[in-house]
Amino acid sequence: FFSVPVLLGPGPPVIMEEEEGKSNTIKIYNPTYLMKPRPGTKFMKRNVEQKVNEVLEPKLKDVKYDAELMADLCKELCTEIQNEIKKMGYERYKLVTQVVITEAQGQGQRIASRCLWDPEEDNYAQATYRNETLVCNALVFGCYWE
Amino acid sequence: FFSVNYCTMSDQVNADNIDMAQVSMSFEEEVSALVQEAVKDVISPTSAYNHTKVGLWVNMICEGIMKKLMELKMPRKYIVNCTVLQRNGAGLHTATSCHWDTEGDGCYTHKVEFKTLICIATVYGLQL
Repeated sequence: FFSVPVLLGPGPPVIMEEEEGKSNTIKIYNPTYLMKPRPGTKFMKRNVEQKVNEVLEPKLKDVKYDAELMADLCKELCTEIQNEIKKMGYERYKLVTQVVITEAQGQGQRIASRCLWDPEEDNYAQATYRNETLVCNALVFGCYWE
Repeated sequence: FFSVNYCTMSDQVNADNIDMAQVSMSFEEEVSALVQEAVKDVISPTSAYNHTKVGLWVNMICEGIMKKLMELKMPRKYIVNCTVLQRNGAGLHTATSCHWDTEGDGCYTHKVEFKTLICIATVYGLQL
């Protein structure tokens, strides 16, 4: 267990701890007390949407709805979308990802969201992928944390 | 210091990652009664899935939950998500993944099943 102070760009240092034998790194974030995200690190809705679509399409292209497989696929998609968005470099953003996979049986469905946040910094991205047998809806919410 | 952990959740509520020793009431407990009441106010066991009304119901449930959350006056940002689905034997899977501070943030999901419809309401609370 060793901790190395690492400077992630301009700003206060972030301590990254690595556990020996484990691949997960625990990042400890210090508050920056900046009311707005640094220029270039704002949650960009259209980029995130594009990224989510890039993840969904190849994964769901020829997939048929199967109750047992879908549970795992759903979680896998969620994880992957989350990882991809984290790679995009939104450092001070807390991310909430939700994926809903529905069998396409001709039923009606309605999904709505309401958020209480700062509309200038926080945003969400939504993507839908449709198939013959299934409909997949992915929502990514990004909330700025100073 | 805050530690940001990555956690994966399914649509089942997972309250294990909330530290009970530090907060008097977990996010789930604070919010569960509000959410259940807000859903009950809009749809009842006798309501049938109606294509024209669903849009209205979903908005009303979300706004009802949001109003009650605002009354708590906690330093938190909230995300409320509501899904209403017609029941015809089709399958549904939901997964949630969150990149946040496991000490201060939490989520709560409430599912109601009636004869012709299913309603799933989820609330995420992110501490400032």
